[in-house]
Amino acid sequence: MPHFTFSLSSDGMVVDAMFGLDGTKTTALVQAGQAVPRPVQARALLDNGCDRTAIAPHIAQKLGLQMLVPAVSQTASGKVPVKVYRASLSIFGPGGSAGPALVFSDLLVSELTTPLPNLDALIGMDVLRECLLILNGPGQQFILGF
Amino acid sequence: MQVKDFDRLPTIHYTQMPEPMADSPSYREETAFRRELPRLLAEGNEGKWALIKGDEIIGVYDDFEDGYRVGLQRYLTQLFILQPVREWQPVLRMRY
Repeated sequence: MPHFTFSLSSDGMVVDAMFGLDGTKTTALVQAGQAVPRPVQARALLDNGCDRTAIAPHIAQKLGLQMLVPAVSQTASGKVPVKVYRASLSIFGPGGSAGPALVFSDLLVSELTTPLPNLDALIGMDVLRECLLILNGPGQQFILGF
Repeated sequence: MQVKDFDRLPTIHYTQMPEPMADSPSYREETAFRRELPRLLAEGNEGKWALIKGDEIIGVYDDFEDGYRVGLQRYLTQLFILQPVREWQPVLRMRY
């Protein structure tokens, strides 16, 4: 099983990720002769307390993502409307984008309702359920296999 | 999360959904969906997906992908929304 070994950061299990348009929309834009926005790099926290992957608003703005499915979110402060987009996600190893990557070409991601310092995205259980995740606390490392 | 995951989410009755936010870019679409949902349910569309643009329900589709493709064909760079036609609407759980 391919895997990446990362160092734990002060923010926790943080990885370099990249968000882009989903495959269906990318194909539609290419067929229409329109420009496809470049993927956006993100500092993302692996968060097993989060059901769904969520992105900061600036990522959606840079990609020109259109809210696709308005949804209801249950947060600590009650039920609130939340934006859901369709996007692609790539997670790279410590070596960066030159090596292999864990790729999800079609993911529904919600928008963060609260800004998170130093973070652009939360990788939730929807993605982590597809992976092997080992936390080596004393060794200050974590392993992500896929 | 993928579209199929909507079936695994907790739900609330559609009458309990919060009102669309007035500053939302899709306020018109969300309001139209809220207005039309009882009719769509009464017409036997439970489980389908509604494609909405402006104040209008453009179509109802058995499959999310079908609605998405039609939406992209008609409104490639414009805002449109897809909504699950369900009496019990899915709820995302977020810590933040």
